[in-house]
Amino acid sequence: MRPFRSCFPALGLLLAALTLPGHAAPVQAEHVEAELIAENLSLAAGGDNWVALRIAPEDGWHVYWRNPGDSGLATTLTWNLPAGISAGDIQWPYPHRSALGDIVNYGYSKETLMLVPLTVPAGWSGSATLPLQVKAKWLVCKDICIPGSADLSLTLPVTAAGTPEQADPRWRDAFGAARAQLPQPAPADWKVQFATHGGAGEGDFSLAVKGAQFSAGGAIEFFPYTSDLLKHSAPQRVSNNAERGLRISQTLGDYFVKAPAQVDGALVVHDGDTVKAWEIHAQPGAVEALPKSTASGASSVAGEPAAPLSLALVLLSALLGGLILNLMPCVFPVLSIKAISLIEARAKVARRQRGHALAYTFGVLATFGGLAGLLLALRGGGSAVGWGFQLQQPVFVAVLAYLFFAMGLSMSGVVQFGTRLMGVGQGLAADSGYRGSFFTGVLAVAVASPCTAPFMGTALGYALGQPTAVAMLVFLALGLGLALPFLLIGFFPQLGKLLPRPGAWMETFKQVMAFPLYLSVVWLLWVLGGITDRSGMAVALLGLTLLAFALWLWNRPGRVALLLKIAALLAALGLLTSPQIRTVSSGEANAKPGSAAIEPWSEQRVGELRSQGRTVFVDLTADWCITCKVNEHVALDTDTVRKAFADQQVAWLQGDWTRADPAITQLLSRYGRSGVPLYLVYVKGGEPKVLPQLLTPSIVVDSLKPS
Amino acid sequence: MRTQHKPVVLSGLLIALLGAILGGAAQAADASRIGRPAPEFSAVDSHGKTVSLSDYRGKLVVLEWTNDGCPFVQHYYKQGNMQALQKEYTGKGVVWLSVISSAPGTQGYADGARADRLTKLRGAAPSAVLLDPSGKLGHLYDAKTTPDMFIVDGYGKLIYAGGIDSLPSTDPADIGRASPYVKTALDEALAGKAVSKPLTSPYGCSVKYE
Repeated sequence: MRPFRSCFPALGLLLAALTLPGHAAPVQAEHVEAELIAENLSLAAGGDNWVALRIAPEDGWHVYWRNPGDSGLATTLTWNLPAGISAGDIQWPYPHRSALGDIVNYGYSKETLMLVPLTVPAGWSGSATLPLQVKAKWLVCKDICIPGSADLSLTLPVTAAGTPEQADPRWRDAFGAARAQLPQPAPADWKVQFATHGGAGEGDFSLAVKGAQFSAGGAIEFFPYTSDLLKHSAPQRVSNNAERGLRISQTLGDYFVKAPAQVDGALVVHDGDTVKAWEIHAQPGAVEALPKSTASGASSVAGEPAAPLSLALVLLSALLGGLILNLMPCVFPVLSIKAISLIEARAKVARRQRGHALAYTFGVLATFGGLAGLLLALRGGGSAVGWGFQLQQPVFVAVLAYLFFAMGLSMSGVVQFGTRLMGVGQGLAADSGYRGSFFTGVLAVAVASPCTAPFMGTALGYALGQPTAVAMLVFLALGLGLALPFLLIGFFPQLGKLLPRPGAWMETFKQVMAFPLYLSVVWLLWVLGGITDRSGMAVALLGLTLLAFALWLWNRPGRVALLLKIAALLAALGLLTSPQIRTVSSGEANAKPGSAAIEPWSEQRVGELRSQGRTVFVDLTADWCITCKVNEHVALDTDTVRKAFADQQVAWLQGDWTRADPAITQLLSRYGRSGVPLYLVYVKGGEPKVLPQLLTPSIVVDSLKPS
Repeated sequence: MRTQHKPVVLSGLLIALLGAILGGAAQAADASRIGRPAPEFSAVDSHGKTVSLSDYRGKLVVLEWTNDGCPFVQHYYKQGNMQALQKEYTGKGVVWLSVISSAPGTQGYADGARADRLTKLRGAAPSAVLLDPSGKLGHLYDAKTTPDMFIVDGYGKLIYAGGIDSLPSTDPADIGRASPYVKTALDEALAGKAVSKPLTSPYGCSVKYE
């Protein structure tokens, strides 16, 4: 330390002030004013020194936070400092959210200080005044963006540690205000955890803060430091109550790849006029996603929906749904054969029926549980699978067509299949019968799957959005419903007496039951043709023909027959790998022909019509969705509804989800659905109303009235 | 004989069925948009010709959202980087479609004549420049920024969505330091490999939708 400075610090200061201005004049760039400023009039060797980039965008323009959001670019500082002096990272004040249509950004539209700590080593013996130079680069945007940069400099004298710092009166308030906007380290007793459910653009990011008390009613926002984590335009769902703490869920970003080991961000808590920001570091943990219905812009919602009641209700409906599945055209033929076997067995070994009923139920539950577990595991692993998604996979549809066709042929008597798998005949009495019953259960679920998707896809979609244990319960309740009739007959043999007597009619009945199966095949082929094209459908028909050939040969002896049937089976299976079936044609999401009044759905078209004040009816459907088809026939395609639509100039927009369509998937997930149908009505361009899944003409007509 | 064979067919079908479920699920296990069919579209190019995605079945298709007034786009055109990519890959049989979704009256809006002038002026070499003043195509792909990049494979599946490279910047000097995501993805796809980074964060100006 030079005597000059230690003896005459005041003189040094004076000299510095005289010879070099304490700061350079602010730089005027396009739409931005930028300046390098310091909190104090001097730099303390060994002390805390704060400098800042003061950046002031013009009215209507903004610069960006460290995570700029959907577009934009964070401001950067590149320092050029004397050797020994170091600058820290920018301490970012919490940002403000701005939205332009679908595009959301985080940044600052008012004058902001980007604080930077500067370190001058204790016992500094270098020059008495330090020139600080920095290149600031920013992007300033309104509707257009202009990149800017400025070389800023500031020269300050150095004072020894311990010398009282003299604050620069010009900036005292600005530094104070900027500090108040810095996220503070979260208290150590907060427990901050996060979880992700599902995949990019559809799944959820959820954050939980425990151990903190936030006053109810004030808005709470979370801003992550990385831009790919969240879908910025999706609403943040916030639940804040004393018992469960704070929870925030938001849709994952379209470019989210995988959950990071830690999520850092700023939690901004509004309480009346005061705002406090915390810097949080969330660790992976079990955090349940808030239901999508909690969405209400960025505002907070106090309290939780009453979960227990709705869970009981959901389980009951799943049970009923499973029961109804027994009557579905794809399941009924198979199960009626099972019923026949029960009738036959009744005469023989009635006491074994309890065992068979249990084996069958176990088969159903194990298969349902296994499939559900697989789906949940995949979703937990970050994928975006939904029940019903299977039917968007052409190979799956083709395999189902094969399966149904083979069973149909067997029932028609072309080939006699499985005494064991199908449980026909004496199988029940045999020792292997329990296994047979188990596999009948497996088969029942396999054949029920194309029916669960269209009929119960929505309910199961809801289940998949729930925590794993709840979702699994819903699936098992559905399985139990499916197994219930036989379970009951097994345990209450007197119920079995209600079944007709065995007799010759059973063979006829079995043959008749082949026809619903053939109809199911026709339906599956139609779905397949919709997903691929007529070539894909033709290949599947070829496969069915080969399958028929193999089955026709089935009971014929001889090597030639054996070779031929194996060859035909292999060829049939091989066809499943052909490009015609594997390629999903991505035909434009077009409205069904038949009504000129229906337009294809697009977010943009909805926006246009709403801005014109038109009433908009949005109908999300798929070829394989039977509920949708039923609604079309029963409610939508009726004179009453057509007349009401015409009278009130309702625009009918239809979105076709037969093939995967990310835009529709997004819209569905916004309403907490992972499947079709979904009906929305925007009365006179207002906020959307969600209609029930099962429509009647009067529901539709009533929904058009302003509420 | 019969009873031995009978369950085999059904079991085989059951196994195939489960396989199909697994296969479908595994396919979906990737991020939501990647690996799914890219939305089909028809759009008018700068010469007034209607272009559909399905016209290019069997070829790799690059969709580049662009706006000549956007500094992030300029950053890639100023020193010929984007043009070089376009030339290199159209030379290798890739279809490169530049898309202008700026609405009339907004930055970057171009009619056919202006789009052609821009191409000439910048020495660009796209296969076509698609005009999307209504933003229909942009919304269909959920393009948010310029440059926002998408790659569609020969089967019509989306195999890349995201940024042109890894370093958000408006300074051409940064291009050399960034990981060239789109170039890498195209090289991998041309070599018949899976794209190693199919989903990245796009950066740039907002698309100037109406």
